[in-house]
Amino acid sequence: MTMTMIPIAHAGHWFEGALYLAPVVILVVVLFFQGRKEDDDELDVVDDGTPPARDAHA
Amino acid sequence: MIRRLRIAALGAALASAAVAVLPDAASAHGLVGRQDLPIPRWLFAWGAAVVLVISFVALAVLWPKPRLEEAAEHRVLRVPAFLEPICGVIGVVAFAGMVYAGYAGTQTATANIEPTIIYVLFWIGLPFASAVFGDVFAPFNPWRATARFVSWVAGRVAGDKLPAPMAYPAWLGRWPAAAGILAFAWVELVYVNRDDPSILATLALLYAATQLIGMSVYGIATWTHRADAFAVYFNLFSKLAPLHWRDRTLYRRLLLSGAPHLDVMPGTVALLCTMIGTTSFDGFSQGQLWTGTNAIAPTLQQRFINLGFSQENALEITFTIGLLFMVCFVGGIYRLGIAGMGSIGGRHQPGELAQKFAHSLIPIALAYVVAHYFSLLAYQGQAMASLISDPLGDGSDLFGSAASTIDYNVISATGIWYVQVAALVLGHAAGLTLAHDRALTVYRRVRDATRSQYWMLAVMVGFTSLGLWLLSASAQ
Repeated sequence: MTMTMIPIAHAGHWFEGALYLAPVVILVVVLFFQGRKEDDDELDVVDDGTPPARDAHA
Repeated sequence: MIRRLRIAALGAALASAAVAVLPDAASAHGLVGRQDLPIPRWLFAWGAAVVLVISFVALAVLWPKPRLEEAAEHRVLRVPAFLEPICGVIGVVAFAGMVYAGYAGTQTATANIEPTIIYVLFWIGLPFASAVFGDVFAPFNPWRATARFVSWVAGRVAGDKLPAPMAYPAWLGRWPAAAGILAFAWVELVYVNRDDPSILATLALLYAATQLIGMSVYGIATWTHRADAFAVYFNLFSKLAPLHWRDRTLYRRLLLSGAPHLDVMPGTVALLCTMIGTTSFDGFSQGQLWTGTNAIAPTLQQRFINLGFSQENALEITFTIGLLFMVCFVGGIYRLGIAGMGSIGGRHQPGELAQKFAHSLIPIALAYVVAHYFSLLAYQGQAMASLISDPLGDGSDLFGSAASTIDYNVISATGIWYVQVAALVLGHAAGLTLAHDRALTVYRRVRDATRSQYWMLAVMVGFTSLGLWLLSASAQ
């Protein structure tokens, strides 16, 4: 019977590489939820006809 | 639909950094010594991301109107007309001397001046100079100077009988320039005889001949502006410069304000993605993921050898695939970011947006050049002192500096790392600024302009992480 080796020999390299990816992942998640929130805000504005506050200086 | 596009574009940013989770890439060019950093290198990527986010917020709050699109230029000085042909002659003589050195000099790459001129002064030094002093290559462009001289002589001889140049096909745009830069990168990164001085001399002559033919068919200015790969390449970097040359007059202007005036035509986005992608591949191809045991390159190479290719050809095919993949990867990230942007504010097609925001890629291309090649310029650039005295490598000492050596203490490995990080952060912050400024003219509402730039922020942070990851192993 042979055992399949899990390729974790270079786990240190992978872990350090993941550290470079982390800020991008965090940013993407934050922007995703921020965008969703703004979409919802926009729909609310359409519903009650009040312009969003951030557009006041436009 | 909008949310689906957002997911797609955010996925693009993730994909651009996804390569970063793979094992470390190897060193950049010419790094020597050990880096002595106060914090782990990956923390610089976090710091860079924070700086970009702060820049993004600051732009959204403090930059409500476009400032770069219509920035004024102020005249500084005008140079006399006779300098123009003199510069042209200098360019032609330098080119001829370089080609002569390639054929007549030693075929040892490090002892012949030609490879250092091409790969260090020309390919790296001129982008640096262009980004600071404007398009300094244009007056010295040897094939343009030759074509202008021939045109002048022909005009004197034939008078008005000279046929007018053919109309340059609009669809061709800057595609010839993109192909030229890709071809040069192929020679530099893939071709096994990349350092052979005589082969480089032949390739330089072939390039010059191609330019002369193109200029004679389509006109000197048109061809130089659109199809002469190096003229276009250096001109793109010059658009970031605070100095601008036009009609023998030097103007000063706001930093970056030349970039919004980039006349985007077919092939421009491809050219910019080629510039970034080829530099990225240069870093990637030195990493363990590409060259290590059982890594991508040896595995692919073995497959091509099994198909009957020689070892050399199999290696070239493998590296060609890697080079093209990286160019397409960079292009894909940009297009996906643009697709996300297209989901904001309606009315804007991705193709239109891709062209309108193309100029924001120029500082990124420069940042990658500085980050990847600064050490090569700092160290190998010093070799010019000895090579200028002994250009053919035959033992001559024309200026008494043939014995000078490279001082590797001119800047430490730690100093180089800081330059690389600063270049990447500043380059991407500049890209964000250009994109934000353009978004204010593209989108009717400031709110939409800011939201559209979420995508550009994600792409910029992804590119920054990718760039730092590619450089990171240089300290190991």
